[in-house]
Amino acid sequence: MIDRRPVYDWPDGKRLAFYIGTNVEYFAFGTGVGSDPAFGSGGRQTQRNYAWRDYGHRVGIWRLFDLLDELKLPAAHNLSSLMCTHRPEIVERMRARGDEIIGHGRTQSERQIAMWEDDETRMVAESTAAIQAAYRTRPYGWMGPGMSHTPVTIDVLQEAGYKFVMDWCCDDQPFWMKARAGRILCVPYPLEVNDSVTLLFRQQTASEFADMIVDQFDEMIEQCVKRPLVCTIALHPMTMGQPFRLGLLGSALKHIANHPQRDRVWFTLPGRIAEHCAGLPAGIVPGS
Amino acid sequence: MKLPEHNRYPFSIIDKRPGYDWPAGKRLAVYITISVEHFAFGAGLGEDISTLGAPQTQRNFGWRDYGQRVGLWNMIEMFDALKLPISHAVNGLVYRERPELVARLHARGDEIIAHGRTSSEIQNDMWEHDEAHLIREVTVAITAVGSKPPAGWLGPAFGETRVTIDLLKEDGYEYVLDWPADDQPFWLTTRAGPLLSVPYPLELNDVTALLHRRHAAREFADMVVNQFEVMLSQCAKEPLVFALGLHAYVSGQPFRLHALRKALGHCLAHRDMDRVWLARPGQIARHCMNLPDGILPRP
Repeated sequence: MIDRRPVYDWPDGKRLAFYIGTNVEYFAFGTGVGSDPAFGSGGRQTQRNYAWRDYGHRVGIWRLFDLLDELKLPAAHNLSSLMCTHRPEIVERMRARGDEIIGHGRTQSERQIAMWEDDETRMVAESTAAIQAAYRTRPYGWMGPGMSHTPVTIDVLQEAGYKFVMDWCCDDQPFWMKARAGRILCVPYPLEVNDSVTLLFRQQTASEFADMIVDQFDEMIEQCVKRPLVCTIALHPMTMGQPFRLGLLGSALKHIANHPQRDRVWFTLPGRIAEHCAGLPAGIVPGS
Repeated sequence: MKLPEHNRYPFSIIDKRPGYDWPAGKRLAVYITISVEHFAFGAGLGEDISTLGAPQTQRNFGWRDYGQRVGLWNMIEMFDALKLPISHAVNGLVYRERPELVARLHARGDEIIAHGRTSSEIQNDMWEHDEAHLIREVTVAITAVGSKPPAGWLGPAFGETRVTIDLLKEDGYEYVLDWPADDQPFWLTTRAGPLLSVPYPLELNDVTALLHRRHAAREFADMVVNQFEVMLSQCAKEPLVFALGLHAYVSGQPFRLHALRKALGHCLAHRDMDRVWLARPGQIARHCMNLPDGILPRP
């Protein structure tokens, strides 16, 4: 229970760890699964929704990179490993920015929940190796395509050397989860302040989403006086990169970056959050 | 691991391409398309205002027919008052069923975009033979009234098969609007030569936003303003296309027209309007086709 846990600080006495997570994904053409702004996660896979998602690679992600550069904010990218071979320019810009890569499977066109353990293990190994080859460091965090887990995903990830997962969305603080061969940290990542869920599945407007970002931050900047918290937002380049949404996102992020209480904020990345927690004495982080 | 690919265009990044201008040094090409559609009565596909995927009844037929009886004419009057050029994506069957309507559109000199046969069907599951027949029917119908064939195609619901763009090129089309992958035109590879993709919006589209996503009219109007303002700023760096997709039976409702009128008026009063080229998609396509070699790389 969040209010009964030991209290600790983020580095330099900060209390609100803030990070931006993007989802930069590679799709099969005409098959598999993928979202559509009219049909959410349903709807057949055609050139219509493939092209709409490809806008994210051709235009949207570059607008987001420029916005984040302007605001001097780092980002973590949940990256389909096939992006490394098919869109190396995007991965190169991530590397130039010093951003973190989070394991996000091979392609967004498949889901782990449909895999046998052997195949899931192989998929995790393949996607991790591909990122290591392109990015020169392997990812230590995982956020699966569609956040879909099998009963053994946690075990498979821990055994593959992952130190943290982001797809349980059940807390505002990190905590340790048990795996059959050890433990793995669960780091907060948003299901709701997430443009896919809010804009595509709930079909809310860009203004409503921008308001959610601002309200989430404004509430947590006060809550964090009592305890360390993680505030995070999840973006996709084909949605937030659309011009009618981009300006509103910029305003929301500027509100955060320029907030009067920004001295409470650690503008960070999930890997750094995980490292900080791993270094805390036993008994401080739940599950330790 | 290899995944299925479309192999129709190579990857390209918006701010890494050769620069160019629209005519007279303009930077933002703006165009508006109104879809004018003919539906089967009581059968096939057709939108409903209350329930997505509702059965076809006289109620939703009547609601859509409002578009041709009332909505379209009020929209045209608004665009004329705002001095905005418009284009019409017209189902081929409107030519047979409502000749007086198409005669008026042609007399105005607006561009006509071929929009399939009827929006009661979607091309995706057609055999090539039947799709080729469909495309030909539409082209013939429009050419008979317009004296020249339509240059551009927009499939109902952006519907395409694996060979649609091959068939379009073979039938003489110059550009297609079904691939919302960019804010600039780009070339598609077809078996019969390159076909230009011109941006047309999946999202800044009243069917997607107001019917499928159930946004309010004012919310859609805000989207129009936000899109315009951001693109007007972005176009200092790259030439861009702002496209607005409307349907006579959706935006022709007075309460939606009211919100749209205010939004467009606001856009047209922007201090950077000197960057804007008020155009039609065929003009945008022709301008791109006439750019020097290498500006818009052909596949």
